Amino acid sequence: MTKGEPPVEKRVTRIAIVDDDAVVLRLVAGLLRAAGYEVATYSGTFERLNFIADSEPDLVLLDVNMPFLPGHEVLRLMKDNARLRDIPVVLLSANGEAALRRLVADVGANGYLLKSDIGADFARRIELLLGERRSVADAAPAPESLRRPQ
Amino acid sequence: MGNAIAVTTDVLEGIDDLRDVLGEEGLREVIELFLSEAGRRLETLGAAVARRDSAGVVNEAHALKGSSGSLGARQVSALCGRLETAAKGGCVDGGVFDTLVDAVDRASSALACSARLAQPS
Repeated sequence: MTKGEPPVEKRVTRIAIVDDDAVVLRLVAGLLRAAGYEVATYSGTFERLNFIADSEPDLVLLDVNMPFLPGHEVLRLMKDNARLRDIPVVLLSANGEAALRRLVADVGANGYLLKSDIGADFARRIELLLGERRSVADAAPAPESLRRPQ
Repeated sequence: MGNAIAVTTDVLEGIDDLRDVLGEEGLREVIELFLSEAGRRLETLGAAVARRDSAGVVNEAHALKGSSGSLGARQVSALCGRLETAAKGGCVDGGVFDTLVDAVDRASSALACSARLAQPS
């Protein structure tokens, strides 16, 4: 970068997905890899935190309802972990949207996506979510399909 | 016939778009995994329903709701949601479970067709 140029926003290239559902893991990983992302998948939670950190993700997609440790607890542990606390987290859930919106606000996640909305345009939804996060000052209206806490 | 069309449309919603992104082989892998997981989860869910285990019904119905919803199997996902909601209130609805079994069967057949797999038995 030459002097005077604005800093270039680092593009998200590595995404970690944490979900106990093998189907969702395989599907989401496939969609994101097809869009050019590097993807690491984790079906466990608490004991895998250091593995997640080792993969140095730019974004974590985190399932909410996991039997061994709920996603909001994983997020709390991430916030206590110096290697993970600054990584954006998007919650992924089959829960109702209103409850999920409240949860995102309560736990300090960066957004959410419904499992019923997973589809061919999933990578685009992630990009929209991240793009809006980067340009809060832009004040452009959010697309209807974008899921984020109000 | 009308019902069959509705079911097929329901199950196949978005599948062709997924094929475009994942490729034939990628989609087949996901669907094979779903068929295997759905059968296992339905069995566990049925056992939980039989013993009126509300917590077990909530867990299994929620899991199947997520995976079926992600593949566009809207009817299966909606029925799982009904079971889950009722079970959270302490009510285990065997009637809804029976309907779910049929819906999973139809969804599995349609998904297998869309992935050019042998029909699940």
